Amino acid sequence: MKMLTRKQKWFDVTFFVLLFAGMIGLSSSLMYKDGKPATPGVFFSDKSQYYVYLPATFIYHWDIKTFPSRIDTVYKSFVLDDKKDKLVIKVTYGVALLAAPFFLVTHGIAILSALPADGFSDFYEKMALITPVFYLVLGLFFLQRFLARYVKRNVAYLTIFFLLAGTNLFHYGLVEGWMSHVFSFFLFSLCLFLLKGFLDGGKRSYGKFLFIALVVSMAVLIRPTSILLLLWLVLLDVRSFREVGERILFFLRPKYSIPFALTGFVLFIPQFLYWHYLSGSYMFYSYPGESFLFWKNPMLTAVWFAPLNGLFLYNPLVLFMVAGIVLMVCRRIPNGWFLALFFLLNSYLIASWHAWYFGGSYGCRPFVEYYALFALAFALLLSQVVHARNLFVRSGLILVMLLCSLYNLKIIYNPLWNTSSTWAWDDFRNYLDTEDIIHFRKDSYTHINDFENISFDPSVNQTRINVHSPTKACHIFPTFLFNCNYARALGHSLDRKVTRITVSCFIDPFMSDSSGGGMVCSVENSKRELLLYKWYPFNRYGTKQFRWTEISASIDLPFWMNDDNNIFRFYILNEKRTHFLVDDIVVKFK
Amino acid sequence: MTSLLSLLAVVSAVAGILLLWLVLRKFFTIPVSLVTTILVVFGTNYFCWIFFDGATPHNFLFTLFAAVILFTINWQRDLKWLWLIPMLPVVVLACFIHDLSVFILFVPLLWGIYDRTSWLATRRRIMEQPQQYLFLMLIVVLAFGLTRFAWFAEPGTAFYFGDREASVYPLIAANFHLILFAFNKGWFIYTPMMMLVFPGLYLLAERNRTIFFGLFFFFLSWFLLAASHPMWNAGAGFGQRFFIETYAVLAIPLGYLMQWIFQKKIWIRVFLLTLPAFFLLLNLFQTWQYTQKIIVAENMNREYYWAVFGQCVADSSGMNLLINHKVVLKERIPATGKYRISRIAGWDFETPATGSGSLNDTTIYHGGKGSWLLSKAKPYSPGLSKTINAISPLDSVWLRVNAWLYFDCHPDENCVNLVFTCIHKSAPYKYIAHNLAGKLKARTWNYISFDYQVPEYYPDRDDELTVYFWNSGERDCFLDDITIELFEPLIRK
Repeated sequence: MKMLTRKQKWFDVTFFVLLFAGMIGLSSSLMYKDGKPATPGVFFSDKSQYYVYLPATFIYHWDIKTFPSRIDTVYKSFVLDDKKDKLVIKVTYGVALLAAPFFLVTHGIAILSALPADGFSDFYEKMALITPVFYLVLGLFFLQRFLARYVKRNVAYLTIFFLLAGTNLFHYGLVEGWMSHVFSFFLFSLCLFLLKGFLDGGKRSYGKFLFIALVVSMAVLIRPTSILLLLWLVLLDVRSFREVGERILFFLRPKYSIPFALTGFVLFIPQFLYWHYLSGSYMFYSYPGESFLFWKNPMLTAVWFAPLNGLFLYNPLVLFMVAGIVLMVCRRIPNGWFLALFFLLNSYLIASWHAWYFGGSYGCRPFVEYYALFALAFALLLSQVVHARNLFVRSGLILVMLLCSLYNLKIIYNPLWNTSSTWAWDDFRNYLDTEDIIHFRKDSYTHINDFENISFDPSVNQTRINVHSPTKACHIFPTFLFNCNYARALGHSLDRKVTRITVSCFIDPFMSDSSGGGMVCSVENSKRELLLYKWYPFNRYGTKQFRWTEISASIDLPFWMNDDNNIFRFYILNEKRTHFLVDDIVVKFK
Repeated sequence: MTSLLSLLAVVSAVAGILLLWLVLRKFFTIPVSLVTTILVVFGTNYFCWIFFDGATPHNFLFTLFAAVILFTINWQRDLKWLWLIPMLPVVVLACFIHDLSVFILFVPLLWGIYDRTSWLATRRRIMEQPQQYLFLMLIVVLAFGLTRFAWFAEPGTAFYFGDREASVYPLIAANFHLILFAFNKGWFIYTPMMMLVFPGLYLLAERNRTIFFGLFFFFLSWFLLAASHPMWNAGAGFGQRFFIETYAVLAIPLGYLMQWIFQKKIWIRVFLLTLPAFFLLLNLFQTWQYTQKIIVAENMNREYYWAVFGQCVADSSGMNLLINHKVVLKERIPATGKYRISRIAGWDFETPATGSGSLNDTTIYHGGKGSWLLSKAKPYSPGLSKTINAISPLDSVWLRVNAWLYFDCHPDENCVNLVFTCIHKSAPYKYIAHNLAGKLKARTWNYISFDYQVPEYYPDRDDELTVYFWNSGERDCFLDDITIELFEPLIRK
């Protein structure tokens, strides 16, 4: 291994310190506009679960009565259970452990400066921006060091630049830093760096091994699926099956396996204690009702390509990582099959999860930490590109990478809470068009509701009892008369006037052959005066019990109804107040 | 003046083609140069723009760009002032015609630089001839700096096109696929010959690294800014206008492709040349279609394009395809056009009997002693209502409506619309209602002016065209001094 010169070391330190400062500035500008929060908050939603361990431990000592009143309703994720007198947290405490030093410093400053030292004030939120950025930059530092063992230093630097600018790592480092991903990314990068050092060193350092054990255990503590990191110990840099066997036997030696297991166990003790506090049992599954439901038929295509948080659509730069993996496999470069296996394995795990689209996220977030590994494929590809003899090929590919990064940053700077359906291409197209990311002609617009995504319509009850596609349908209950409501101003749909609207949906009246319901389409003007009302009773379409029947209709809009401000409405009318299933509502404007 | 400009355009076109030939001859043999010149001149929309719309900036810029390349080649050959000095007026003039022209300076600036060794060689040349390179930097500063005067005229805009809305570049080529493939003005749809530039760039990078980066960065910068431009379709005309001047540069990679083809065996050569030959014939045919208005200057769409593809006439069903897909945007009379302007209607509301149901008001007025009250009870103003034929028998005519409005409610509550519409058998088409809510000031007279292009394709010349104001809100508004002007294009005799 080539040692770094003094000059290179200074360059590295200066670069990453400056990067840290720059990232803090960027994170603040993204999270705060004119001194006011630009987002629901640094800890909003899931992020508060990772954080709340800290104030609970260091300020409130797990006494929920002392917490600020109804603080759980502010963050809408962890629960202060008054009846059981418990603080209910779904996630594990790994992130809190990594963030603890920063929290203690913040808390100390708050006490010394006589600021509200309650753990949830504005001061804590602002200071909390530093933690994920710190781990992001540190993760990039270790990743650069790791990559520099395989490619030239400048290529390693270029790789981390593209990784940061061209993927959702930027978003999960600077905007939603308190999700676990950037912390896992840091641990993954550190693990790779240490492991490479451990494997390449002439004499394998035992201290380094214990550090690896700690890092892997920590990663598993943060996200249990990171148990896959154990495979990295076995597969990194192996060139044959014989080497795999040797590596397994090496790590199974008691000298390594027992301390490894012990490290993990010790690290998990506080978690066991928390689970005991919560449930009375030391082992507890804190994700009730959530599982790898689709392990038999994973949603792979959707995870990779769907407008609903599809990996490649939001992070096109990842396509280059895949190209790098293919290049490595084809040219028999070591680690090619290892990376390919992990890409597929990680995709499979994500695609098997019950909420494969990881609602409310940007891009496919469970991939973020794995970029540390796939960066190797990207770096090797980039190495080929920057050394390509043909200047056009070289410049063209780097240009495409830059444009992919720009596209990613444009989306991050124009955030989208994706409430659309799995394959709602037109909604995604309209988003890109509206935000000036890519402009499109809008000759038609199709609204799709496959009931897959989170819904804020109280009449929508998602069910998996019987579905048409892909994994959820809507159970219509007698509670609501008007269901699956949809409205759109005619002027917001196309570049031109809407002349025809076609609607369709699938119905299963599972209680009997007749549901008594129907589909309603209406057009009203800006004064809410009804201009058109069409009622399509399902019975007319010959619905049968336990069978999906397509209900479809087409409406030609007369010119006088075609005002931009007029509103088209669609809903399912449950006239007889019965039970039935609806799926795949499609409304097409032409 | 017009004749002088036309003469100048002819001179420019001839000079441009001659300069292109001289540039190509620096790199290629006579047959390759000849074929490349023919492909560029007759196989692209440059042909249409020099033969049918000669007096446009594209024609002049093509010539100026070709001159810059020729001067650069000669200057780099022997580093003589003779070739560097003329570059100054040429580049500055090009920048005043179109400020993106500053990118042509990538050619001399990056000439000969493609790796570390070549950079060191260039550095040596700079050391040997520092005055000449300083002069080159002066050209850069002047070319860029002089056009920045526009910045002072319109602060806050990086690039100025005389239109604030059009001056904002979103900095990512958001229209890249539209500018290439849209049936409205897609570059590759109407000038498929230019697709051959890309394999040509590959060959250029293989065979002549010295000039690669200069050409590549020029084209890249031009393309990215063009594809970021809100008005990427660049108004009426044949094909994509944004790139016409760049053909002077892109001819070089195209030439390298031709050179590669000419090095093949005869039957492979003939086979490979069928593609550029097809593109050339297609371009000539489509140019003819354009002159016959089968391919129209604006608002082409996929359905209509394929309906008239290879056709010598466009039938009424094809025209309907155009009307149905008409994209209604804010219309403006082109600033570059020449028109005969006549007033065809006007209302000053000085006599009480104006319009139906006398609603003249004498308490608030702009000019004279009266105005028109638009109220909830009487929401429509008097307006124009004539057949298209009666308005003008010509094509490409425009209307401009000027008027003054006054109201004292909140600007958002002033729901007055200026409506233009054509009506065929009771059904309106090309209906545009300019909603003025929130756009005007209360308690003062507001001047408004809107343009409307009379449809060039319509079901019937006796279709009625109506223009009127409509108050769709609850609050009163006063109108005064409405004029409707007709803009008829001046036809060369």
